[in-house]
This record gives sequence, C-alpha cells and structure tokens, in this order.
Amino acid sequence: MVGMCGMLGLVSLLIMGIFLFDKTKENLAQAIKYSGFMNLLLLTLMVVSEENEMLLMKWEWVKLGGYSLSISFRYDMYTCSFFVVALYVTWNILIFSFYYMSTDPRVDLFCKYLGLFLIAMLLLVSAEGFFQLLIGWEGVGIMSYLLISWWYARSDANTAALQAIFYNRIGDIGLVIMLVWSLMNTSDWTFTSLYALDMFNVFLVVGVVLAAMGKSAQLGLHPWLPAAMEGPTPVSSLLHSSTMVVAGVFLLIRFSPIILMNSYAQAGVFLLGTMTTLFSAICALAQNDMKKVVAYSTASQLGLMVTAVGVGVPQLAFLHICMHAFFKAMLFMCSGGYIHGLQNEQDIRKMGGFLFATPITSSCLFIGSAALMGTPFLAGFFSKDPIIEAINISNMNSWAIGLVLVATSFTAVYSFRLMFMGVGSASRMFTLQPMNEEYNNLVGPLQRLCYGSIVAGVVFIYFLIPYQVSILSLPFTLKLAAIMVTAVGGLVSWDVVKLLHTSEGTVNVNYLSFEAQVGFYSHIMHKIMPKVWMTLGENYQMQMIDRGWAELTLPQGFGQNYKLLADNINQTQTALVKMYIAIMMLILMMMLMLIALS
Amino acid sequence: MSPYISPLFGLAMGSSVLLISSSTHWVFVWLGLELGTLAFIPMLAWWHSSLEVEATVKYFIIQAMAAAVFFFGGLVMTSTEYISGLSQFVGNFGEVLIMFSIIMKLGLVPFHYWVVDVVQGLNYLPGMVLLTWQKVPGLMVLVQLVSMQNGLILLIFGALSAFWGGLGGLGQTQMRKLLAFSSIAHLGWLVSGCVVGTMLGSMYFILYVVLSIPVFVFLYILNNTHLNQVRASLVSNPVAAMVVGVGFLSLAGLPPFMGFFGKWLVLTWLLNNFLVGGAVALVVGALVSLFYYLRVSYMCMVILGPQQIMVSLSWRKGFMGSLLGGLVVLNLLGLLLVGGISSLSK
Repeated sequence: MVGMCGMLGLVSLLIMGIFLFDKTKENLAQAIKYSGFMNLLLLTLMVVSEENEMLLMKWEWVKLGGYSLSISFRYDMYTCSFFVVALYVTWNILIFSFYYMSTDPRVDLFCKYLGLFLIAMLLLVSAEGFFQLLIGWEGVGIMSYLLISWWYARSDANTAALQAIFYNRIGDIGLVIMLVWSLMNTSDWTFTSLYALDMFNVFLVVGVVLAAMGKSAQLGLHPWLPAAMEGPTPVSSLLHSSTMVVAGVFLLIRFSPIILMNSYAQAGVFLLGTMTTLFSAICALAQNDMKKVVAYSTASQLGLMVTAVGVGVPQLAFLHICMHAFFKAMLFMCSGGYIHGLQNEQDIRKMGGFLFATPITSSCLFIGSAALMGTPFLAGFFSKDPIIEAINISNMNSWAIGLVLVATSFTAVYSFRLMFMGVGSASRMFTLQPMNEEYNNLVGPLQRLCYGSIVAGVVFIYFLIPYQVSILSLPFTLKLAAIMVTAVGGLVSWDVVKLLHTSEGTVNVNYLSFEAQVGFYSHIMHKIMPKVWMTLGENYQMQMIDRGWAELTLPQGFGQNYKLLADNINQTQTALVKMYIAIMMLILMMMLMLIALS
Repeated sequence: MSPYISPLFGLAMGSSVLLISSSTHWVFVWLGLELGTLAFIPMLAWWHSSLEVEATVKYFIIQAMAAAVFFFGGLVMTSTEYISGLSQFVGNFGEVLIMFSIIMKLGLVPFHYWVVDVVQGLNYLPGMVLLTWQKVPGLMVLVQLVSMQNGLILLIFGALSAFWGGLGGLGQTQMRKLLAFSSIAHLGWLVSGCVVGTMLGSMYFILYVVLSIPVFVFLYILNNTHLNQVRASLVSNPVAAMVVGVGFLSLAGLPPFMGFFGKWLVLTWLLNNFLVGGAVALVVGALVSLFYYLRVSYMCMVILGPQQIMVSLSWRKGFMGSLLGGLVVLNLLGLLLVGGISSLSK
C-alpha cells in the first residue's frame, strides 16, 4: 500500500513540475489542487491501512569513483501529511495571488515562482539522501530571494531579500558542516544510514541547529523574517506557512533522534526555541505594521516548534507545522485583503471597524487569530496545547517553562490587539477607500483555509500522535495552563491597547521603544557592528597595512632603494680607464689576500 | 679601412679559438687569446670615428692588462708547482690569477667597468661581436678552471653580476649601455651555468647569442641609440621594432620565448645541486633587470610615436618580412624546446 502511495505521490510531484512550464497560471493552480486532493486520498489510504512504515526510492544519478550521488525519495507519514497541507495551502495562495497580483504585468512568472518554491520545499521534505536535501534547501533559499525582491525597484525589497540570503548563508554554513560530517561518516549519505550510525556528534548537531536557526529565523538569525514582509503578501503567506521557515524546524524534526540522544543538545534546542518565542512575542506587541505583527507571531510559533523538538516531542512540532500553515496563510491573506482595500496602507493605526466593511475577511481574521491562540477545538489547540503540556511535565526548570507560558499569553495579547485595531473599534481610515471583498479569488481561498483552520486539528490529531507514552493524569492547573495564560493574555491586551493607543498625556515609553525597535538587534548588528568592522578595516588594514607598511616598504621602498643603488652604480662608470684598472687591481689583490687567508 | 682585409681578421679570430681548444699548455692558450684580441681590434675601429677609436683604445688597454695578469699567473704556476698542463691544476695563486684575468677579459662584475664604456663607444655590429663571439675564447678557458674554490668565487661573482647588471640598467637611457648591462647580467647566469655543468654553460651561451643577434642587428637597422628614438621606431619601421621588442622580452626571460628556457635550465640545475642561494640571487637580479627590458619592449611594441609624416616606410622592403618571420620563429623556438628541457634527467 505504502509503495503505491509513494509512487503516486512522486508522480504528483513530477506532474506539478511539468505544469510549471504551462503558459497559463490557472492550469498550474489546477494541477496543484488536484495533486493536493490526490495526496489527501493517499494519506487516507495510508492511515486506513495502518502501515506506519516508509518507502525509500533511490535513483543513482551520478557515479563518482567509489561514490555516487543519488536522488532518493522518502515517503512516510511526515512526507505524506506535509504534501497534503502544503499543496492545499499553496493552491489557495495561488488563487489568492490571482486576486492580489491581478494588476502586476508579470503575474504569470510570479505564479511560476510560487510553484517552484513549493516544489523545492516538497523536495526538501521528501529527501532521503542529503544531496536531495541540499537541492531542496538551496532551492527554497533562492526562490525566497527572488520572491522577496519581486518589487525590485524598491530599495527596501532588495535589502530585505539580501538580508534573507545573508542570514540564510550563515545557516547554510551549519548545513554544510552537517553534510560534510555525514559524507565522511556514513555509508551512503542518507538519513537511514545516519540513523543506523546511532552516534552523537557535536559538529553534526551544532551544524544542524545552526542551519535550522538560519532557515527558521531563530533568535540571533531572525531579522530577515520581519524584513521579508517587503515582498508581496502572497509571498509572505507562502513563506510563513508551508515553505521556507518551517524547513529549519523540519530539519530539526528529521534529526531529532540524534539531537535527543544528548541532554545538553536537547536543552540547547529547548532554550533556543524558548528565547525565540518569547522575544518574538514581545516584539509583536508594539508593532504597528499589520504584516509585521503577523510575521513576529510566525517567529514566535517557530520558536514554539523548536521548543517542542527540544522537549522531546518532534511529532507535535510537526503537527504544529501543519496546523500553523492553515491559519497563518489565512491571516496573511486577511491582511492582504485589508491592504489591498486600503490602497496599500499597512498601518493598523489607520484601520479599524472592518467588521462592517468586510465581514468575511474579518471573520476569517478572527477565526485565524483564535486558532493561533489555541482556542479549544480549533486547529491550533490540538498542537499547541499538547506542546505546552509536554513542556509542563518535562524536567526543565520552572523559569524556562514560565517564559514559555508568558510567550503563550503574549500570543493572545498581540492577537487581540490586532483584532481590536483592525476589526473592532471605530474606523480611522480615509474616507472613500474602495474597501470591499467582492472577489471570488479573495473570498474562496479565505473560506477554504478557514475550514482548514477549524477542522484540520481534529483530523490530524488522529494519526500524528507522539510516540512517547503520555501521562494520563495531570493536576487541574497544569492541564489548563495553556488556556489559562491565554485567557489572562486576552484580558491584558485591553490594557496594552489603552497604553499604546488611547492613553492621554505622557507615559514612560522606554520599554515600548525596545519593543517597537525589536530589541535594537538590527541597529546593533546592521549598523554598529559593520561600522566597527569598517573602522577597523579602514584604519588598520587599509591605512596602516595596505596604504602604509605594505605600500611604503615593499613597492615604494624597494623602488626608492633600487633607484639609489642604480644611481650609485652609474656613478662608478667614470669613463676613466686608469680608475678602472686601479679598481680591478685593488679587487684582484683583495681576492688574492682573501684566498691566501682562507 | 679596406673591406678586403676583414676576412683575414675573421680567419685570425677563428683560428685563435682553434688554437685555444687544441692546446694543453698555458702559453699557447695565452697566445690564442692574444691572437683573438689583436685580430678583433682593427674591426672595432672600422669607421674611425673618435668615439670608436677611444673605445678601441680602452678595450686594448684592458685586454693587454688582462693578458699580463694571465702571463704572470702562468709564470707563478710554473715556478711553484712545476706543472704546466692546464687541466692538472690544483688550487693555487697561479690558477686564481689566470681565472681573474679571464674574468677581466669577459667582464664579470667586479671587473666589468670597461664593458659599458667600450660598447657605448662602438657601433652596434662590432658591439655585437664583442658581446657574443669574443666571449668564446674566454669561456673556453674558464670552463677548464672550475674547481671547488674557483667555483665558489665564480658563483658569487655570477650572482653579483646578474644583480649588478639589473641595477645598472635601471637608470639608463642609452640603448647600447642598456645592452651592455644586459650582457653583464646574462654573463652572470652564464658563469653560474658553467660552474654547474660545462654543457649547461655552452647551452646558455648559444641561446644568448641566438636571441641577442636579432636585437643588435635590428637596432643597427633602426639606428637607435637612445630610448627616445626607440619610442618612434614602431612608426618608422614596425618590423624592426617588433623584432627588437620581442627580442627584449626574450632577453628578459619571459616564458614563451627562448630566453626563458635558458634561465629555467640554469635554475633547475642550480637547485638540483642545492645551490639555492645562488638561484635566488640570480632570480632577484633577473627581476630587477625585467624593469628596463619591459620598458624597451613597451616602447618598441605598444607606443605609437609622434612622427606620423615624413618617414621613410622601410617596412615595405620585402625581405624584411621574411627576416622578421625567421627571427621571431627563432625566438619562439623555446616553445619547441619545452618538451626536451622538461624531460632532462635530473
């Protein structure tokens, strides 16, 4: 059964690749849609047949001496589920971009880029050999660059795209370390042989974590993620839901058997995730750009996924990837609808009261935010609540757990603030804005993703359960901890809104500027650090060495000294034969004396 | 001077070499050297200009003094060792004196002052003979004198010569002085090669002769004695200018040309004999001299001079093209030598 499913899944991937060459973008969308439905069927077959095994298909591509590069396809529950989610979400994003990019003259190319982005991600997810993993990984990176800089005439878009590339390059160093280590230590450069090795290695794990940090924008390598909001909204939607940013988390999930071997590595991953989720949640509180709020919430959720890997439940991290894809894609589409309706105004201080102007979009924003917060029985609840629960019963110290809970409650704070500023309150937009949602290509995807955000959790929790035996009896407070902190966050959000937007007179805003300036990280890393390096380079390398010692001693100094020598030598050419003979005889005598003495 | 007498002088110069190569006693070697010098002197002053006569007289004085030192060395040797065979020397004063006299005749560095003055005074063609053919007798004696002690002295002088030749040419604007310094530098390489192996020295000498003859001949045709005149040569006579430019590149020892392979050969053999210091000194000297070689090549081949009109277009003469072809091919013979040289036994 799994063999047939795997074959069909691979065939659907290839067919989509063929449709990338099709002239009309609608055909590509149809291909992605039917692939998604076929993969849903395959997933059903796999679940019903209850064969929890995997299929490996290997095709030897290049033979290099004693080594071969092979494209190998790994089809297991992760691959199958991710195919369904990614194809479904991408189909809707493509339809949405017909609406959002309808005035763009290059919309066909744009849709092809989106399709290629998706295929690169699917290649990454279905990779068994590390060679294919590398292709998918770099493919995702390149497509993200091309898509973020889609509006290439804007300098901000170019800067953001370059930021994405640079930060990902740092992560790629880690990936290369991992690749090289496994090339040297495994038999055939695949996940299977790496698992079979059953060995913990510091280089390997540090490389993997660094790679995941870059791709998934964990704390330290995070600034590119909010900057990537310069791209068109469909790009943000795809980038933040089912491709690119979850690639890092997915890599951690694939490597989790090795990471979880060592308690220090596990704790390191846990702390990395915790700090990311807390930092991003804090930064999301005071953002005024609607897309940036959603972007920081993505970063925060990514941190939560990494935390889940660190706490030993990678299956739940994967479940959260799948759930997150639905509602995050939808949240971005809602912001896209607003931005379009307001003629490219993204500031939430100039929104408000959209519940009456755009009821469907606003309802979807509400449902998406509710799912994000982990409201019971929506999609986010089924992944987020078990993760918090797993963190609560893990043996991490309570300070770390407390920070995660604070971050979780902040999710509610910024979500409520976003809804209040956008959907609720009074309208603060300019009059005569063409705000409406009478577009099938906007409402259709929103509705479909909305259904997904509501029911996906119930479906997926059926087969994506952790392997570990869970504790069935929990104290009442711990069991309800996630919901309680979310509720508290919801209450606090009102005060936050008052503090930020409705308070009269002066308030002490130092901590607010920390939040609004996202921890001054960009300022320190992008302004001060380059300035320090520039100064060092200018003063020491350039002025002192290159223009100073190296220039004056070697080329200039040699030139001067040789000129002096040459002048002296020419002085000896006196054209007086008597002098010449005298010198010759003198030298002859000296040489004879020297020889006699020696 | 009547041109009909010149074959007699040529014959005498040739027979002097034969005399040196066939004699085993130092007196006859001395005789051969003197015969060569005396036969050459009338040819130096061929045109009787005051500069030429002055140069000829200087040449004669120096050569005579060297001959005296040679004779004195021979006498010392005979009186101390009672050995008169040249090849049976052991290190002693007589032998060293003879070696220094040969060095004076050749113009290796501490005894090189006369070379520049003499060449500057002469026409190009006598200068060419002086710097090529007239080295043969001296070198034939020198290769028989290489012993442990003499070899060391010759290596030091050789390295010094290569360096000195480079430095001396740096500030020169006179073409003939440049060629004289270039010859001194090449003599340094040549002597170092002779120390390592007789055949290597001969090889280097042949290469030097082959690649310097076109330079002298075409400079004679161009009639350039100053760098400023060289600057205009590409316009007045492009064929000759190209040959001179390529010839200078070859003298500098740039890879595709023949001069490179002689230098490469010498360096390889020096390194095989663990004479790293000598090799480094030679290379540094070659680097210094590269400056003026490149300057002349640049002026010959790259710059177009200001005179555009009123030039006699001598490049229209048909024979020049074939001459150019032959000589450039000769210079590029180095490319053919690559295989042979790289497969030399170590």
